[in-house]
This record gives sequence, C-alpha cells and structure tokens, in this order.
Amino acid sequence: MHAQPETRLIIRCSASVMFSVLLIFFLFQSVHAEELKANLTPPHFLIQWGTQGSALGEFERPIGITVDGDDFVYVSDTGNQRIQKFTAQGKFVLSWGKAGKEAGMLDRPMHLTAAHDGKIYVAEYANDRIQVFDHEGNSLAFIGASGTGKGEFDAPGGVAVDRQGRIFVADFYNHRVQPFAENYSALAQIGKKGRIFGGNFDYPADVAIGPDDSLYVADSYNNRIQKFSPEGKFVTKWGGFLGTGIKGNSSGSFDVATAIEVDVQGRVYVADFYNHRIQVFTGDGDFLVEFGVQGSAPGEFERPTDMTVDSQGNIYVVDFGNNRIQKFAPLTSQTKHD
Amino acid sequence: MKTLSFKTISLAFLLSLLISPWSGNFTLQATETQDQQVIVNIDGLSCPFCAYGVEKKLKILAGLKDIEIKMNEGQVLLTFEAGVTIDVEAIKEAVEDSGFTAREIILPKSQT
Repeated sequence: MHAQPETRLIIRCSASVMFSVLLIFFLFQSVHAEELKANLTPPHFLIQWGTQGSALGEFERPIGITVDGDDFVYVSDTGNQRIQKFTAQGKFVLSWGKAGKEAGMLDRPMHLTAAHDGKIYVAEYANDRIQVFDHEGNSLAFIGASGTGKGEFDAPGGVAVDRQGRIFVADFYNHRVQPFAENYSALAQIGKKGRIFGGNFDYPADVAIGPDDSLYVADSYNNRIQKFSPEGKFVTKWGGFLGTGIKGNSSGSFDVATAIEVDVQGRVYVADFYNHRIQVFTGDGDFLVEFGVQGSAPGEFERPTDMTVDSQGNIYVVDFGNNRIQKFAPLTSQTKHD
Repeated sequence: MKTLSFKTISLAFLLSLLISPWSGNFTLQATETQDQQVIVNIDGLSCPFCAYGVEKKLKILAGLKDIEIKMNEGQVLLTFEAGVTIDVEAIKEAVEDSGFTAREIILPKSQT
C-alpha cells in the first residue's frame, strides 16, 4: 500500500516535530544538569573514627548509619551484632545489642533510620523484622515477621519513615518495598521482582523519603534508583542507560547501589558500592557531584555501604571495608533547585 | 616403698583386660563427637547483603552448629554437629536460594 503525498508530508512533518522536541528536551536536560553540577564541588574530608575490632568504638563490618535530630550518629555494627551511638565529633556514647532474637537483641542489623517520631528503626536482616528503639537503645516494638506474605520479610535491608508515620521497608529477597501504617498494620506492597521497567526490583537494599514524602528505593542489583510518589506510583528511575540497570562507572551509573539518603533540600545521595564512591543527584535524578575513590587514606573508601546527613549538612559515610566512619563538610553551594 | 604382690599385679592385669574393650569404644566415641567442617566456595561474596544473605539461607541446615563467612576469600565455613549426615544438595539449594552458585563444596573425609 502506498500513502498519498499529503499523508507522507504529514508523517514527515510529525516525525520532524517529534525529533525536534526530543532534541530540545535532551539538550535542556543536559544543560540543566551541567548548570547544577557546576555549582557543587566534592565535600571536604573532616574527621574519621573507628578501626576493626569489637571494643567500644570499634567496628566489624559496619553497614548502616543515621543521625537523629540532635545530630547523634548511630551505626549498625553488623559483624558485632550491635548498634553504636556517637556524637557528631565521633566520640563514643553508648552501645546496645547482641546476637539473638529476644527484645533488645539483634541478628545482622543493616540499614537503620532515626525517624521524626524520635525512634530508631533497625532492619534486622536475619531476624526478618524491624526493631524499634528509643535513643538510649531500649527496645520498644517489632514490626513484621518471616515470610513472603503481606507484612512479612525475607531479609529486610533498609527502613524509612515518612512524615505521616508510615514505615517503608526494603524487602531484599522478596524484591519489593513493604509499607506499614503508623500503627504497624501492613499496607499493599510496592513493586515486584524484575528488571528494566519501573516498579521492578532486583534485590532492593534501602529506602529513603524525600522532603515531599516521595519514596526513593536503592534498587541495588538493578544498579539504579527508583522514585515513587507518596501514593506509591512509579515516577522515575535513573542509573546507567535510561535507568535500565546496566552497571557502569561513569557519573550517574552504579555498580550495586547499596544505600540511599535524601537531605532536607531534596538532594539524593547514593552509596555506589563497587565504584567506591558516593554520588549526589537532584530529586529527579540529575547528577550533581561525586566523591571518593578506592583506598584507605582520608577521603577514600573501600566499598561504602551507607551515608547520612546531619542538620548542618555534614555527610557521614560508612567505609565498610576500612571499618570506619568518615565525616565530610556540607556540599559547598546551593543548587538552583533549592 | 612397698613392693607389688603377685595378687595385685594379677588383679591389675585382669582389670586392664576388662577395661580395654571399653577404652576402644571411648576412642570411637571421641571420633564421633568431633565437629565436621564443610568449606563452601562462592564467587562474589564481598557485598555484605550477599554474604549475610548466604549466611541466612544456610543457617537453617539441619545439624549446623556454626557458620563463618569469609567475605574477602569468598568462602563459607560450615561446622556441623558430630554424627550428622551432611546433605550436599541442601547446601547447594540454600546457596542458590541466596542468589549464588556454590563453586565448590569440600566435605570432611568421613563424608566423602
């Protein structure tokens, strides 16, 4: 079948218009990202603390980190089966937990979060639960149980709490995010196992909440970040080519994204595990800045697993392979989004 | 110092004969009470989410007494209770359930 000359003209014009629109869009995105990137420089190294061991203030494979409203820092010292609390200057304050299932005991504490309600939520990978503590380490409650059903976990890796009090859990081996209401009743899961498309997960290890209650997921083995609306609807994804999950080491690509954090200005921090660096993005995934290279000198990382930002904008990074915490100064300038 | 009488020596000899079969059993018992160690070599264990995932899945194996993950070496050391028959297929399944494949499973000599 042959199209009429007028039809061909219309098709050609439409294609040209579409191509131009796409070109302008990508050009705008690229210029926009460059503008944002140009305004930020990698943060300066400030201090570090910790070394390998089991004494107070020492670490054995630390994984998670969070800071509370008073800028106390909490670290999940996973190999030692405990949580350690420090001042913002790295001075040891207290420690709690030992291996077990009873209240107050822990089994492989991974990512943790100090929520707006003043409580510390700890994802227990091997106990398949979230344990809730007060700031002194007293156990308050458990959330979840082992399994694949609603409200159950198979190795919860990370936890976040939004401003409505809802709790979101990265359910690693169930390849989903399991939300709970403020009263700990389970809500409908977000996502399912899969690749490429939005809403599909491959071993998600962490979650974070943005200032507008958007949900961000470290879709770890898809090597990407996914963003969802507060209602749980997929919004966008990034990491590698069009967020399809192809791993890489260029800016904006990941080689296993093990953790995610969002600061009060909505900037998204990602622990890029095998690339030994932290990458920072806008809330929509535009690359801003990165810092860290492989090594053990100050400012260098050996497989970072998590990071957090305090009220002053200081950044704390869990340097997993070096068994230490490193603290960095705030990002030096404001972005045009702020 | 007293010298040993013939009677005492004979009694001791008889007693040693009586005890000897038991002592043989004790030796056997001692062998059976030794823990059995299995080495599982797995590639890609340097990520803690993977390593502790493998640990979690292997923990449910029957008769498992202890588990040690050597992340940098990509090795898992399993210690089983004495006398337990080690189920190699169960080990393989547990490793696969954690998203990996066991490259090599080295059993104790008693189970090969």
